[in-house]
Amino acid sequence: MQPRPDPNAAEVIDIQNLTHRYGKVVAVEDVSFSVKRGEIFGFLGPNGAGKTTTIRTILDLIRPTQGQVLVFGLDSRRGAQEIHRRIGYLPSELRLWDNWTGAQYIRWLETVHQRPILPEAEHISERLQFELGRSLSGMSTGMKRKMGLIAAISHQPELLILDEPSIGLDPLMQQVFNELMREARAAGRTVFLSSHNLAEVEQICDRVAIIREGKLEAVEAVHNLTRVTFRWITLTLPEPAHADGFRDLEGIEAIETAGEQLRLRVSGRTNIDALIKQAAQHTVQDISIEHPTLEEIFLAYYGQKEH
Amino acid sequence: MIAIFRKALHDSRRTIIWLSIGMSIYVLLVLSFYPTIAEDTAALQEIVDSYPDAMITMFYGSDSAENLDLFSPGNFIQSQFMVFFILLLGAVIIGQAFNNFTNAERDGSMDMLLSLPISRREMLLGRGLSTVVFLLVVLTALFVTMVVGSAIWEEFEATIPELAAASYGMFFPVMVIAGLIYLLVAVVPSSRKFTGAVVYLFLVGSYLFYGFSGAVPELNDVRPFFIYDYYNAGQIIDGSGYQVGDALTLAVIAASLFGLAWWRIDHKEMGV
Repeated sequence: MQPRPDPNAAEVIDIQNLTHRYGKVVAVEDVSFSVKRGEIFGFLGPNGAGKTTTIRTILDLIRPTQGQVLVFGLDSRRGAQEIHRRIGYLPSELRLWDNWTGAQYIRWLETVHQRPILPEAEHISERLQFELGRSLSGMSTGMKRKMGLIAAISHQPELLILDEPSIGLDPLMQQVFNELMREARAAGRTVFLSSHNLAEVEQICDRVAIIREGKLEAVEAVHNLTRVTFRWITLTLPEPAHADGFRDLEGIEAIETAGEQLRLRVSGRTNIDALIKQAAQHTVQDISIEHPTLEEIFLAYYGQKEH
Repeated sequence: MIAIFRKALHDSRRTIIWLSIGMSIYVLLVLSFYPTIAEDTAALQEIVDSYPDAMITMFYGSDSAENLDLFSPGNFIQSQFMVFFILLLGAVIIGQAFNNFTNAERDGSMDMLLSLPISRREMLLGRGLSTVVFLLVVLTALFVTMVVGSAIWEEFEATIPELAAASYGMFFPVMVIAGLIYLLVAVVPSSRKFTGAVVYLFLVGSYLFYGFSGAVPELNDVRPFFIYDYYNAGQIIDGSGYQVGDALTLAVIAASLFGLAWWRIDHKEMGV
């Protein structure tokens, strides 16, 4: 029986035991999680992990082989049209109608949403430095994604579903995007975004679900996840590197030396100020910071949990 | 649905214009030969009578070649462009349907569309309605051109109602082709890349088969299973007139195919 929709339900998305198979291939298996109203929720996983399959199921483009997806308390299939009225979506592989201008596309969306959205679209496009009057043909990937983003958020939907939203955005625009998402949250809207990049997710998300090989590995508050994560800091010195002096710093989890390079695995507990002061005692020719791979995060996360 | 209809019509506006212009020029060109042909139909008929029946039925597109006056106004346009236009319009509509559904599923633009408050069935209806309008506009261009042609070359004797029936009568066989392709895109997964080729082969193959079946008595019984059996400009203009029963048969088949597509599209896994 169709659950009675609750417009004020705390859980905007509620996925229960979702399994989706493409023939014999299991894309998503027994995935359960929920997204609360007013939060920015990250859906993190490497390419091919099942993120897009999950999102396409939420949007009723494909149907669950098993399990159930509720959005705003409505079944994703039976309530699809009502759900789609209240969401904005940006796909990972965006294909816009090349024979239109941005403004034409927005005006067309006005007929779909049956309300004016052009003023808001103009406001957002200004912030994203996008010209709505330009033809969509021949645009770079980044510009097209800006258009996709404008189209997804201009009607101010209650729920934004963004699949790899930062693809093609330069760092400056990434900042504007982050601001837009924070503003959406402040206005009580919910954001569900997928990514394969933890650094991107940890900047704006409140909670994150991690999916790997179709299975949900964890659903955590971002601060819990980043607490167990680390960075690799590599210092290049003019002479063969020594670990002396770094070993005693708090939060240094591992040290590797290779020729003139000193590689430090730095946890969230590390006193960065002390680390920089220690490094300043040497002539540092180069410094690089690497974010951990998702695989390393999983290992760190589960290593922590097991202890 | 209106938004989809508007979009589909916007996308096909150039095709509508150029197809109408192209068809009109072709029709005028063919009709310009008619006075010369009408001058000596007996001699030309003698040459045609020496051709194999299969060849004549193939070009004529309907019925047997026996006692066929290929140079009467109706039979002339039937053999010169009306049958060809069914194939042409069918091919254009197949291409549009594949572009709007299968290719849109493959390239992801369908995901964008269906994430909006537009149901799959509304999308199908919007696209179907645009096909109807597309066809009516092109057939109107054909009708107007033939009226103009009959005014210029008076030897081409056909009344305006006859020309209207011959032009708009083509609507139903083409809509059956449209219904078939809409059903296919609503059912067949977009990953099946052979579907388009199979449909085009079926379109041309069924026409050739129907043509040859007119010359083979053993195959006469299968002819009612082909759309070409229900439309013939020659019969409309020179023979028994417009057959409402034939049009109704095709209308019911087209509506049934659209109905099936409307039912099945809601069950489809999109982009798979």
